[in-house]
Amino acid sequence: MIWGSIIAWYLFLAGLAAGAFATAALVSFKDRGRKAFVKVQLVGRIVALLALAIGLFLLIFDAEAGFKNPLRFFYLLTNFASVMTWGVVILGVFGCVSLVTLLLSLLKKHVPYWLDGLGIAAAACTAAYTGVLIGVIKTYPLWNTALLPVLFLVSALSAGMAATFILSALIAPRELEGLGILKKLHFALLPTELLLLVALLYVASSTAPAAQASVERLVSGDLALTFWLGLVVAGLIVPLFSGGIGIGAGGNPGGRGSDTDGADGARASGRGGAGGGGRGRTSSGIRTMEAAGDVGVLVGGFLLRYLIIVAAVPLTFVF
Amino acid sequence: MTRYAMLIHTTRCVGCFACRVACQTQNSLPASDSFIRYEEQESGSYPVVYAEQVPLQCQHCEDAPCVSVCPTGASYINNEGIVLVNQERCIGCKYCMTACPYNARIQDHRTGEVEKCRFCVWHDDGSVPEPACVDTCVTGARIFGDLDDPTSEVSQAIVSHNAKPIAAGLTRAKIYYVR
Ligand code: SF4
Ligand code: SF4
Repeated sequence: MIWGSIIAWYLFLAGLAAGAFATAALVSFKDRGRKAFVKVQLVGRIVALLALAIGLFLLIFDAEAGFKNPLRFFYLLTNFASVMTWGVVILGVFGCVSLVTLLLSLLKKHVPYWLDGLGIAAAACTAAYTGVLIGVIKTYPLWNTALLPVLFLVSALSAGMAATFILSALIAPRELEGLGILKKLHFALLPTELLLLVALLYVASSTAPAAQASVERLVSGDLALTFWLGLVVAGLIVPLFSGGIGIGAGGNPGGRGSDTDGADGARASGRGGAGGGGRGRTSSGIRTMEAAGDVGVLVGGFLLRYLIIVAAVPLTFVF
Repeated sequence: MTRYAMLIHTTRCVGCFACRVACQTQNSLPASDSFIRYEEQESGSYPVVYAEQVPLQCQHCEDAPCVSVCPTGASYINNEGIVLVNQERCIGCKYCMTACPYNARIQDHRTGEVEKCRFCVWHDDGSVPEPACVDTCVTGARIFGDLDDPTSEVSQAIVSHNAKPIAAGLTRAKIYYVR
């Protein structure tokens, strides 16, 4: 195996960073300058920059010769036929926007919407490029599908939201209760991801024998336990249940107009953010369960990349 | 134009691995690393079976995927059609290793750089170099030369033996096999 868990961690962290940034930006769009959700935004922006920094360090660390001769990294901008070169440009833009918006947030300044918009675009490119990077490699037919970047994109947003929500639940639970709509989006990503995963495995296994062998390793071979228990159960099924229960149990008050109510509620804490219909705040049991689901999403996000990297069987070119 | 290529006559190969040792010596590789590896292929059915050693190394593809993915421009094709790695530029990202369908590249963990067969190119001082593996082969299973010169030994051997790249449909490889 040429690439291993370090690269899987990098792909995961870059996606997580992109997803956390997008979460913060979406919260800011929803907030419309009322400052009802400043902490959630700040959490998202911090997670984004931190995850990106750690991920980039791992990437550099894995590039042994560059790690020993850092000046060689300047050559990275020479071959624009390479997806990796484009990745460097995308990461550069995303990193800069991420840093500037975090500084603005820390200084309690309003982050301009155009800047968050640009950041979302860069974040989407970052998440998708991690899929394109390995997706263009014909040697591994498991990677070589157009579905992979889409799957990584969805999973990245899912993981970024999960990380932001877990930390926000600890730091600013009230704010979180006003974000019912984002919770719904977060939830909706799970069945989407499941569907994409099934489609990817199906499409791949019908192309080359090498991809078929990869899928077999995942579904019934040496990686089956990690695949079924780690990725499918912990990463998708558990979050689907806990998220579903969380949404059903009043993460959101009686439907219409809930978002603005929630936002106001978060500010006027006396009214109990999500508590329309007299149901009160989300109970701590449900909150714990939601957090467990989010941990599952993170585990699944990493395992998705790890399994796809290690399960890939190269084209059997001879004989 | 010159386009260097090689022919490997696997039916002559006795599997002595002398080419690998010569290559390791030539390129100062540690015993654990080499630019040449072997795949064993069995054919026929009992009791008439054959075992064939197929030596593999960089195929010096004309449409080299390792070159197009290399983000630093370290991997390149020189004007004689030889695929090379400029060691001074390589960051060791291993992207080229994933892109090579022949698994022909290795990472030198002393430097972190990626290397592979270079057709012993640095011997080229105007005279046609003879790669160490060709020089050393005890059965003469390897022929090296210029594809663009129809009179060269390699060009003629490819035609007379109907030699073909190891696999169809992967890349435009320049090592031809007689099997
Ligand atoms: S055999 Fe592999 S390393 Fe050699 S040129 Fe082709 S793709 Fe590149
Ligand atoms: S390992 Fe070196 S030669 Fe290979 S793609 Fe990276 S920089 Fe280029």
